[in-house]
Amino acid sequence: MYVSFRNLPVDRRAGSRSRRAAVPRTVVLLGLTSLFTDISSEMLTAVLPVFLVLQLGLSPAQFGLVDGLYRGVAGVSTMAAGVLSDWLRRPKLVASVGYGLSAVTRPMLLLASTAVGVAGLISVDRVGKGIRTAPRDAMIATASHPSDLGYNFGVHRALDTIGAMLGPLVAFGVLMLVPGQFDAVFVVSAAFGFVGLAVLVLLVPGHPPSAAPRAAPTAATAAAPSRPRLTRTDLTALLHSRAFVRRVGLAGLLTVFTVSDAFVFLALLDRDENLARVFPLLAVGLALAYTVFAVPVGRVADRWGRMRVYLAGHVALLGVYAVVVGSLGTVATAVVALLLMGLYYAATDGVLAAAVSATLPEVSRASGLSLARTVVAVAAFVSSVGFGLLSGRWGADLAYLLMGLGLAVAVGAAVTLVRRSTPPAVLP
Amino acid sequence: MSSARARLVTFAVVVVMAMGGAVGYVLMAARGESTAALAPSPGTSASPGFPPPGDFIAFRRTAVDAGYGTVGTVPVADPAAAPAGSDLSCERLHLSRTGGVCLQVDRAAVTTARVLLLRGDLSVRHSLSTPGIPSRARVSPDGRWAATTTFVVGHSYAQGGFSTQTEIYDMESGDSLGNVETFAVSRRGRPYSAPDVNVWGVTFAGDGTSFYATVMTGGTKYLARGDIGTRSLVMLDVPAECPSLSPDGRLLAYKSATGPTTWEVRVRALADGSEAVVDAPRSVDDQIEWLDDDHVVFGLAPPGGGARADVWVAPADGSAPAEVLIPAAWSPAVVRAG
Repeated sequence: MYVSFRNLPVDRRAGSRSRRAAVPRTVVLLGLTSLFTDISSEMLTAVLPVFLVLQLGLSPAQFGLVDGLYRGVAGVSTMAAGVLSDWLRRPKLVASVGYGLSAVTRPMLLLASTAVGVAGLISVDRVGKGIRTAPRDAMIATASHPSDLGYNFGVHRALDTIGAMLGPLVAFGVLMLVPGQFDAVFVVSAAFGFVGLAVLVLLVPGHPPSAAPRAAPTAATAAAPSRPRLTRTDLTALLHSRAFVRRVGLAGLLTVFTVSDAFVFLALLDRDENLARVFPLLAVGLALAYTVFAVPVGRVADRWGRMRVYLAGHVALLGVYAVVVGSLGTVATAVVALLLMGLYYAATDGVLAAAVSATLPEVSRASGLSLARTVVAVAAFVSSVGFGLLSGRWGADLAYLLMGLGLAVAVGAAVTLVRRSTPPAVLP
Repeated sequence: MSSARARLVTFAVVVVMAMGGAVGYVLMAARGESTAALAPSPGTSASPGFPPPGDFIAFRRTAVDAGYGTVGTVPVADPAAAPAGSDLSCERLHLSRTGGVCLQVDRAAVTTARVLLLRGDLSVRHSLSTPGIPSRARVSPDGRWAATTTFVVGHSYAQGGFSTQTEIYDMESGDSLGNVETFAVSRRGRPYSAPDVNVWGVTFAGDGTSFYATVMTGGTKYLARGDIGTRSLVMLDVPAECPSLSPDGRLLAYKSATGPTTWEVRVRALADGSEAVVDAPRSVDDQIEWLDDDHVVFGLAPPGGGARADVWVAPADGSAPAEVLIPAAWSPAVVRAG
């Protein structure tokens, strides 16, 4: 994997190909914003369970309840933020509010002394995450050449995931210096959060609604913004766009049969209790695989077809199911499962954002992206509940088998649909 | 251009201030650590003056002072006395006259629990590690066995998945019998197998081999009676969590859910299944300990949660409201001379 910048010498391929290797400044800077923000939030992820349980006396059941709480609030804020971002024509502003909300919760954790207080702050953090994602992805899409969407999203997701890997390491480094002092973790987390916010606010180029002087409000020419304001018609058009609806619908359908990585980790744990000792390292391994695959897979998606790669990612996921219920040794199972899951993430998360962006006009881009995100989130929730019920009643093996069958049928149906609708030469 | 330059300078200032502040804070905290936290790391040396004479209650001290988190004791006859201290820090502990178990947190690259199997004088007999965050600890009345429950959290706090790990240890050899989930589980006379079986909250009977625990499967919690000798676990149709046997073995105190995250304490007579509800001021989330055959003690967090818990006492038949027995204390263990 390598990333070369626009000003730097590009590889030997000339012409339009060379553009593929150049990542716009905005994308790299947004990647850095995500990197620092992820260091900040994953630092907390690493220590919060211990902090909540031992310092604040939260029980496992309460822990689960807190989790459900912020799942819900994040979903609502996502949709509203996407539409607002388009209507204001200020994706950077809305994204900044989202990153800012999360950043300000960090120092406040220092003051929270009750489980309820911490749960409230975590909810605010989740709302911030819900707000920022769609406008940020819209900015990535806007800054990208249409033929580079997959590659650029890949670069962004790779940087984002590097932050997710570094976060726990920074947290444990701090705790090694000052054992048991969670306040130090919160302070360092806050520092990274604010640096991430500063990258976005100060360095990422904004897209002001109009470059024209405000002194001439009546003149049609002067008032004409670089892009029109979002109207109800645009939103209706969005829902009537066949390409958009088909892609989002496919994503929702496939996600219903997607077993979340938390369950996959638990399945690995059931296989061998000794894995529990290195449990957090499983997440690091997954992130590492995702980071390595994100950029090349994004590039392949641009060339070969984003929906094709998206579907191929789900074939990798089928491989994960097979390995998890299969009879390989513990280490082999863990390694292969993590590699395939990393491949699955690389072929789906950023690639779906790219594939959906390609069907969206700029005027309703953040709205469309947030709708896609919400659909996937709801489908993921349905999947979690369904898988939980299935495995509770009939056991994990049969649950994986059923989910696998469902996924295989869904992928099969999707393949015929994508093949029929995608002319091989024109790859959206 | 100058505006771009100004932004760059502002950015540099923000980075320097944020990172400088963070590093400064950590360094200051580290300096405070080196002077204030001279609390000796738990060695293998015995704590002087331990065990105290007569019946006593040992507990984790939650008063915010130099002794925070260490084991304190008060005589049963005078629980209001100033606690005698020790150098041993435990998140959870349980003691009998002849041995004890202390759970600590190892914050290495991966958070694990350290299990210290103790002699009667708090000296460390065996030091082991087990995955997860300490939750429950018990020793058998004869000091032969110890049991711990830890819970292993999913990799992300936004995913909330957890699973418990309950192990029983041979105090003599320091060997773990393995996760109790792997015992032969049965229900209504037939072998029961489900992938989602979780076991927690062991309490030992006086016969030296049997114990009770909670089994959760398919979202339902069952009381279960286990046997160490045969490595078996029989599920009973009683929805009890975190059971605790009275010293005479007649009564079983347990947590009973009153809401998704709230519990009351019920006391069940094993002979006839009659039950009483302990009169506690708010939800109790602790494994109950018995002061004597008629009184239960338990840790109770302050309203709204938090680590500054107190230990409360209440009659087991629910005839009077609970009251504070030992302020600023958690994880009580009643050690009897007999």
